Amino acid sequence: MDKLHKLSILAESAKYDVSCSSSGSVSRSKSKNSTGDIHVSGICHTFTSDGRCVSLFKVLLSNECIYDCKYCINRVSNDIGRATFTPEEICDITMNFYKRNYIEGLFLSSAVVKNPDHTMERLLYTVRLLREKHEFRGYIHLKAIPGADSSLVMKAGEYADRMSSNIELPSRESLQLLAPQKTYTAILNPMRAVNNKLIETRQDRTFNKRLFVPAGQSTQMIVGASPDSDGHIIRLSQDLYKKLELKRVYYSSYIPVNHDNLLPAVAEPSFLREHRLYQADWLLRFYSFTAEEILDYGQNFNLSIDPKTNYALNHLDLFPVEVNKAPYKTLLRVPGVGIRSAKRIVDARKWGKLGFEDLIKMGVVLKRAKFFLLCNGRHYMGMSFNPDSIRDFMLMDDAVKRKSGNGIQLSIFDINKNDYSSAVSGEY
Amino acid sequence: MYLFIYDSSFEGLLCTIGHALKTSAGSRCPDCSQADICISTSENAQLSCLYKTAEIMTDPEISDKLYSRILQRWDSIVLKNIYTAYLYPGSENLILKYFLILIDSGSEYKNAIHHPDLIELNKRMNSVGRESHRWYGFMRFKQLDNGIFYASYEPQYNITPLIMPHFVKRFKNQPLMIHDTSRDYSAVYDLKEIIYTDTASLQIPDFSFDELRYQTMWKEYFEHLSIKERENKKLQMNHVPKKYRKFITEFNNDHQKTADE
Repeated sequence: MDKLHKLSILAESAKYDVSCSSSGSVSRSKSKNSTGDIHVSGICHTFTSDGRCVSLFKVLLSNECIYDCKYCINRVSNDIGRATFTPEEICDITMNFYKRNYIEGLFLSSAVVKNPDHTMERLLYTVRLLREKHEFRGYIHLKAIPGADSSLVMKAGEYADRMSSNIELPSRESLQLLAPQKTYTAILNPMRAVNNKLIETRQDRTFNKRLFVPAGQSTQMIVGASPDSDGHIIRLSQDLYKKLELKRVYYSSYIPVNHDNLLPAVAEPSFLREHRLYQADWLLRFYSFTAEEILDYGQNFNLSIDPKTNYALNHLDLFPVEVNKAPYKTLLRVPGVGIRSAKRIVDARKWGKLGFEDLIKMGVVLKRAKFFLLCNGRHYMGMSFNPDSIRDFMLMDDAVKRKSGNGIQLSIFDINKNDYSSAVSGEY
Repeated sequence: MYLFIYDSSFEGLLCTIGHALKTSAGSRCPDCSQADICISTSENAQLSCLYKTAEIMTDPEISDKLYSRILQRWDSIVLKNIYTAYLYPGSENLILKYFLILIDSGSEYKNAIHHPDLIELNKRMNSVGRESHRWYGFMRFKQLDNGIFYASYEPQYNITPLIMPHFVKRFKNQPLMIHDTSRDYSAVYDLKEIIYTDTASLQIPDFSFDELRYQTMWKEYFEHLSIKERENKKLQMNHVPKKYRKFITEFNNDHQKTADE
């Protein structure tokens, strides 16, 4: 089988891994013959027709899997093309793609061939070859194979920028049902071991200059293949961020690739639910929210309102906040105000009082924020909002947007025909 | 009121700003404490009887002096801000305003860029920054017969000098050439140093033996990476607007044909 054919099979098998970030790593020491570097913010090199970015050369070493996980395209009982790259082939393709600036680095994963230890050994051998023989200094994301010996995983950590092992499903029970050969213990153990080593390396950085997984760990879970609630999922994520210091948790909406009676029959994958989970995930990581503040256990997200707005609507007593006085952390809690806007506000107000016009000039989006902000003690355009009307106003905005998004020209003459008219016609 | 005309080079701009600062020291507008000075390139200059017009000669000695003075008094971030803003055409007066605010703000100089009068300057810098970051990703090198990795592109701003060091840093063992085909301007790296040069009539040699093979592999890989159930062409278009596509290997199929033939 030639390289081209293998590449198409193994790319096809690798594409369900979501992670593609190439950010947050540290430059490795360079030598005369070394190639490559990292870019702190990461770089997207292209975007596929599903709109996802391609930053890393994401590929499997092999898709000849011994496991039979129900949801996975590579499960042993599936009749698909099988292929295995040699480590040399991976290195050759990676180096040549990298030299042409197609990619930022390599994301190497593998199906479990023979047994976890054997697979991890092959992965380790490949990244060593790439780092040592080809002197590659670009980004490497390596999968830790669940159940592999921890000494292999630790060794691999010296060559990789980021490591990940996917926890696959959001609860122990779901995992046992759908991936009976994998266990939470086998998945979490390498994560825990890597994290302990990370803490250790951080502590004696002065003595030890060797890099160990400088971009940290990530994981991924499938959402919608099991009955786990959103409230449960974000608590799990919070634990992963706090206890295992993960850098990222990825969520992938379940897409039926196999038929199995244990799997739910899903007509449309819920990308909106996935989106809401990511929004909540951002609130956890960058906006210092806790999972408990975002959603009650066992509950699911209201798909029509984003989690931050939802929080604000449930805590209207905390709003409105004064743009010119509120501390940075409080500004961050305002729906529609992100990290950039909050920083801009804090920097700009040192030069003088800010009004709503200034916010608009600075690029702060007021669509949602206007309900929750005061500038110099005044509401936006002198309006006053009572708690009940804010929700209606917001839903109205969305309803109008959806209508116009469907290509319906708004006109004053159909004001009585359409259902959003009730919102416009002055019930406030 | 003065109108200063310069030769559109960065050195020229620094000289002009040097002159402007000297001139404005005694004559700031009493209302807004801004200098009564307008700076323009010779192509865009609009002569007016209201202005005393002066053409500023570029003097490397003056520009070097101001260059090191900026680093000495402020820092390299300020210098980079100025250079990035300079790449956006017509920003000379905003840059002068930035200087005046910097001078006034003393030890608080890091916050000068957030001054409300500089919001427009920030937008322009972001625009240049965004363009160069996109090209970090979208630049496609093609290996030529003579071993040089060649990339052509048409950026909105003249960012070649801004982005070349990034590529040299990671591909220090490859001879590189970045060719801005709209401006006929190139950066060439010969394993020792970077040379910037005008390249009007350039003959590009054929691709190397391996080049088409890897291009085909990359396109094949790119095709297979997309998840059909999640197709979202509009999102793809937002991320890779059409103006970039003719320079990006995987969005062009003409080479594919020659490889098949």
